[in-house]
Amino acid sequence: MTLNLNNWINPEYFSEEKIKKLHANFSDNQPFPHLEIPNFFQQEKIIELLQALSKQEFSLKQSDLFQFSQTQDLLYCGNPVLKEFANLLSSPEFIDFMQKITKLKLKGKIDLFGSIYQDADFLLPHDDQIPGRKIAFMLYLNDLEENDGGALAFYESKNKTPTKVMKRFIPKSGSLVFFEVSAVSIHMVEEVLTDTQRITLSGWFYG
Amino acid sequence: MDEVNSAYLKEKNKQKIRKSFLHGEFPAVILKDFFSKEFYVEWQKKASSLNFKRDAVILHHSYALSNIKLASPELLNFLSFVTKKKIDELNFTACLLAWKDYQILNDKYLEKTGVDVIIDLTDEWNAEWGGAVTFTDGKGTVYPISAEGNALVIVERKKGLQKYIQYLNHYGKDRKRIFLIGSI
Repeated sequence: MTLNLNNWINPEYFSEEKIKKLHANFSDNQPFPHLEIPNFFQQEKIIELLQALSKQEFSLKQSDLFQFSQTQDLLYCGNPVLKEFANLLSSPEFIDFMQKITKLKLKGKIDLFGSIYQDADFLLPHDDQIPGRKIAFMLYLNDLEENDGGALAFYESKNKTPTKVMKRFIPKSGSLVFFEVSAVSIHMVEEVLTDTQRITLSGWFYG
Repeated sequence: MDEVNSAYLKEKNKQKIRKSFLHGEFPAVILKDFFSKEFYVEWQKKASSLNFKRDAVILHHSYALSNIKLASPELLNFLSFVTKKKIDELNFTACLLAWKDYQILNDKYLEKTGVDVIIDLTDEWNAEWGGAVTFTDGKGTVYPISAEGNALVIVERKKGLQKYIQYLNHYGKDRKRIFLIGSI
């Protein structure tokens, strides 16, 4: 493990035994392959990321499918913390780590955005499928409670048709969630219901 | 009972509306206080007491629907004049929106070209609650139709123009929005 990854990621996640377990969980999780890893990144790095993100410009994005605020692709931003984080995610070491867990062939190309959902913001059900996208990921940078809304919800599907919500993730600071993008990876961000902010760094790994 | 607001039956006004519909940049007209108060209140009551059935396709829509027969010769004559199409009858569907309802764009549900006729039956709707029927050309231009009770909206969906319904958010959770929609 390089010094770079050591600075960012809790070392417990890099043992061979742990990686095997993560792979098994990823593959077996329903309704489609995914993982939720609490405290994946070092807490001080989460704080640095949050501070770095607070200096970025967010634009309101609205369409039939969503309403939330988002930064431009952070691969091109000048902030050193965000740049280092983007480099970390696309580094050969981290790509190798993700490949071992997901057994998906990845290229090293990523997208990375900062997103903020505020009161009444939402993201309706969709599958994230765009050519090349293999894994969707989101790193939560703050805590929400059940009554705040803003949970990430996964739908189960029958014959590739989504039927109902099977799993929900209430954002917790430092938690990394990622899933395999496919025709059945139907998910949504439930409407935020209180005067709060749901802050994430999210994007996709390509293969 | 008078059906349509007499102002809309005056020849001069009808001509103006037709011109606006046929030659406007966005082929649509929004006509406020369209029906007489009596007629509107009667149909508002009828729509409120309909037996709505929940209809949901997660990747396309969530709302409740009911059939309704709105018989108004004056309306049909007016629509025929404005659209320059011969309209002998028009079937409407009543749509009821509640909190969390929506309609999103989906390639499997693309609509053919046609003319949409929307009759709004909900008073005092706040645009911030969502629930607006919104047309889009797919190139970034959107035309939201603000909800207003007793408004008649006529939209020609030319090639590429599709519609969706804005997600109805928690600020509207104690309210329901009802409108009638028919297609020519």
